[in-house]
Amino acid sequence: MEKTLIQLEHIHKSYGKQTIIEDLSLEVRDGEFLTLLGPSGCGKTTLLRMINGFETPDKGEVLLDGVNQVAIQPNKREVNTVFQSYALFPHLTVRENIEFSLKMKKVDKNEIKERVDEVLELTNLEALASRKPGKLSGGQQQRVAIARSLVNKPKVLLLDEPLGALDLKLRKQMQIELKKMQRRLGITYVYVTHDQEEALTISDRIVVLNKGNIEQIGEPFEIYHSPKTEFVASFLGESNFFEGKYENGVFHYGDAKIPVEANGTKDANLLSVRPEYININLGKTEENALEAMVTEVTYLGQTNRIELKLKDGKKVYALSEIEELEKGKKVFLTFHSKECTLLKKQEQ
Amino acid sequence: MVKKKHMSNILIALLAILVLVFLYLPIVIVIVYAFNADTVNCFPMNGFSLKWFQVMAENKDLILALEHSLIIAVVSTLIACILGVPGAYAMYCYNFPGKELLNRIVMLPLILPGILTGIAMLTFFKALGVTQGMTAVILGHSTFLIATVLPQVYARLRRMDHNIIEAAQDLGATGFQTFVHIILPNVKTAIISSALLSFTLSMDEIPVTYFLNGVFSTLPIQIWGMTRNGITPEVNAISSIIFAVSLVAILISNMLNKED
Ligand SMILES: Nc1ncnc2c1ncn2[C@@H]1O[C@H](COP(=O)(O)OP(=O)(O)OP(=O)(O)O)[C@@H](O)[C@H]1O
Ligand SMILES: [Mg+2]
Repeated sequence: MEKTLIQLEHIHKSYGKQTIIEDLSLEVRDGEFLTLLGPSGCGKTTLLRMINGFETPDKGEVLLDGVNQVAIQPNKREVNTVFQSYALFPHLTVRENIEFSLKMKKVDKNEIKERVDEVLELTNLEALASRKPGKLSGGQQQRVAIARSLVNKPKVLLLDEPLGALDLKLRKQMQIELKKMQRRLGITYVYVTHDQEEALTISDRIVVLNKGNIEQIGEPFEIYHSPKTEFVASFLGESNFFEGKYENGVFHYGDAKIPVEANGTKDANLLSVRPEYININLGKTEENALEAMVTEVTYLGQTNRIELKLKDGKKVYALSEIEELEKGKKVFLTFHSKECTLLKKQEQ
Repeated sequence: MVKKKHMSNILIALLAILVLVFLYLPIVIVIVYAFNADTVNCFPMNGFSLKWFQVMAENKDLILALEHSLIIAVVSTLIACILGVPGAYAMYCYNFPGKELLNRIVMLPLILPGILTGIAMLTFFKALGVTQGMTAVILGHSTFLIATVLPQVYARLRRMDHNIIEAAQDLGATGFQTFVHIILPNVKTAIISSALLSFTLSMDEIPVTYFLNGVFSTLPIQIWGMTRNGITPEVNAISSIIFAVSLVAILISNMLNKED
């Protein structure tokens, strides 16, 4: 249905002896908001830099709109980048910063003015047009960086942790603004972040990266509710992991038998359950319930975060509104069988 | 307590004034004598006069030497900038083994005694077939002036946000456009400041010039010659002018350096 805009095919990249990316393939669809999510140092920036041309893959192809980009210089590629540090030109005003790319391409003067005015309005920067970047707040600089790229009408906008330097409140606000702008313009965004919450809020699709490998690609809901690997389950949100064996709808954890409506691999040896899918019961209502003791109760506002200890000493986290829970209380745990995910343990 | 502090402040101020007097009194005396109505340098002066400036202006040899010096200073400063600025940029852009060492070596002509540099250049130019004269002096000065331009511009480049270069390319600028529209404006003050410094250094350079000039004279060499038979008031006059010009140049250079 949707057209593929960027294709990364069997990308390899290493710095010296250190292999950063090994045989990575990825397709970005036209008009989507795609997020690269992963821990620090996993190769997110490296991947972006192969799309904008500042790094060349050792092996593999980068295609934009079907055209191989590897031999094309960064200044000739139809992608633009919003750098983590913004990298605004300090000696130019906001307007001159935004005009820059059009002037370099010798666009007609009247057209430059028209397009710059349009972008200034879109990003709410009209009032600041004659200021130098040094006299702007972090959020404003951020908007200039985006405006400066958008004025080019790139096929793809690459954003490398663009909100990293902002405080939480402004961050949330900018997330919404970014998303709105992207919807309105229909430009493809490839967005890099290591903040899982941000990724879940903002993206159409998320690519979870770990050590230069793709762990999973999917929509936010899918990534959160059906993680395919242990890494994804633990990196996005919180999860409880139980090591054991799966057999015919039952996951054996020690002596306990946990009913699971198969979801995930059949030869699973790991069960992942998010805290919100663990029920805490004061009495033993089910035969299979796990006995546990409350060790800590943290008030979270709408609900409480309960830390529990199983009989074998394993720690488990759950969410509950039950008021009687207090330290030392004996309770019984049951799991939502549909929301349990079967996984294979990963080598660490 | 307060009084004690007050006292020590006064002592420090006095000391500072003494040092300044020691450093600058000779120059002040030269300037004062330049306006002396008398022929001999002595106190008390017999009145204020501008006649030594007139005498100086009528000294054909001196004016010719000044012309030579100006030509040499302007041309070698230009050469130093034309080679030094792109040189600094190249050094900034490319990583190669021994880069930091090179940055130091470039400074050598400034640190080495002028005599040594002079002899070295004389030998070298002779081997190349460049005869002593204006060209040799300009080449000589350019070489050691690069030593002021390149490290200053390089230092400024290193303080610049490296990402703006990639940002410029990302926005479609060619390498040349990036250099003209992004790099030059950002190191502009460093270039002007090192050019001013180069100009003053060239204007009063003696040792290297002395080896390379051949028959023609430059201002400092001419003045030096004139003082062999005692200091005349017209030397005071020309010295005052040199002092004023150098002071302004160095003040501007300092100001620009402080700017960021
Ligand atoms: N130019 C380089 N030379 C050598 N190693 C590099 C270079 N650039 C990146 N690396 C290494 O490659 C790995 C991946 O770096 P990269 O910048 O892509 O990570 P990242 O996912 O963007 O991390 P972060 O979230 O911290 O920005 C890191 O281990 C880093 O040290
Ligand atoms: Mg990064």
